Amino acid sequence: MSANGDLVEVRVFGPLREIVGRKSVSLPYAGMTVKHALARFAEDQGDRVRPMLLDSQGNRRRSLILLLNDQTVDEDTRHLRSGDVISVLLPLAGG
Amino acid sequence: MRPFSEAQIERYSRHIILREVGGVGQRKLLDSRVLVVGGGGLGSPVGLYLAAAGVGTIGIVDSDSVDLSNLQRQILHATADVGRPKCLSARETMEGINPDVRVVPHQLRLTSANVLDVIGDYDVIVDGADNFPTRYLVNDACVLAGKSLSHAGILRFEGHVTTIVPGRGPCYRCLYAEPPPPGLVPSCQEAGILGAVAGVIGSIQAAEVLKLILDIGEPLIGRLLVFDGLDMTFSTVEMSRRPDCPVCGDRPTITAPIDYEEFCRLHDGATLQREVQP
Repeated sequence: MSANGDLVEVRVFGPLREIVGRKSVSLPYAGMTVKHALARFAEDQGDRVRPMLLDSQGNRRRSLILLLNDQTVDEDTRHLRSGDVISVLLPLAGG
Repeated sequence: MRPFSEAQIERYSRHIILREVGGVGQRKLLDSRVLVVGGGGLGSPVGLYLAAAGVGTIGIVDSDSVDLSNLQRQILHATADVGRPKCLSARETMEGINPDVRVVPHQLRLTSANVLDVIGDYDVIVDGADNFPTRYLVNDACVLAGKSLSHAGILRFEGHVTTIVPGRGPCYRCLYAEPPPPGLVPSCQEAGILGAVAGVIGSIQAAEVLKLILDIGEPLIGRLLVFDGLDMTFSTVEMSRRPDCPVCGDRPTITAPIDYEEFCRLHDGATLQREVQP
């Protein structure tokens, strides 16, 4: 139902990339807060992604970096606009 | 300043002609002490370049032995080393490249009990570990001891690298306040790693260490460099120190090194408290 004007790009890094199957996806998240969009993304991507991003209470994990347009952001207050880019980085264990 | 031998002048001539290094810088490198945590995919290029550069004392921490599956990327070790302790194999390779270098093997696993002692002898620390408990332990210890740290992680075709200088920018916990729950984020063993990606990222770490010792250029302080080996792109994420960081923040809650198991227990306790609140 969403028009293209609602689209936000979500870029994923590290182990998320293999599971999501792409480097980025465009999703109709405009208007949501950044925090809400992350929760929505976690739910939409299914059982392998969800626990990487959210704890059992549904709160955002502190083991990830969440950026808006390559900058840190107030996740609770900033509302997404069409064309915004969210980046979700997980730490890489390998050495 | 102690004079160089003729062999040293020749060996380091390409450094010495660099205005930013010169004889004074080369002497700094020879007098410096660097600890490499992990003699694996990242530790290999780091160790090779630091030894070749003439870093005078290089410690290497690794409790493992060389496995055949390591050799696809861990270029400190050779086929004949399979089954030998990585520390000793690494020492032979590094001292073989440069007799000016003394390699100190630390054949142990870092824990909250030994980490401050081990890092205490060194000027700069390199994190090339293959697991989160060691990464958090090394970060916390470096913040507590005020040691500069080159941090990097790799997986599949991707690498992340940053430089942590306590008091001058964010630490690892400012980026990722806590480790992912065990089992959720895969290791290279589970997800794979293109060998040359370890070479790219480890070489960046080596360059950062040399810059820190020489006090030249702009280290990756406050910048997370993200390498995508499939697209062959580098991007930079700017990060700041978090005032609420549990170890380098304004009111730190971590004031001594903690082991991952203990960390998990504390965290579970916190979760439990939240759950019993109305």
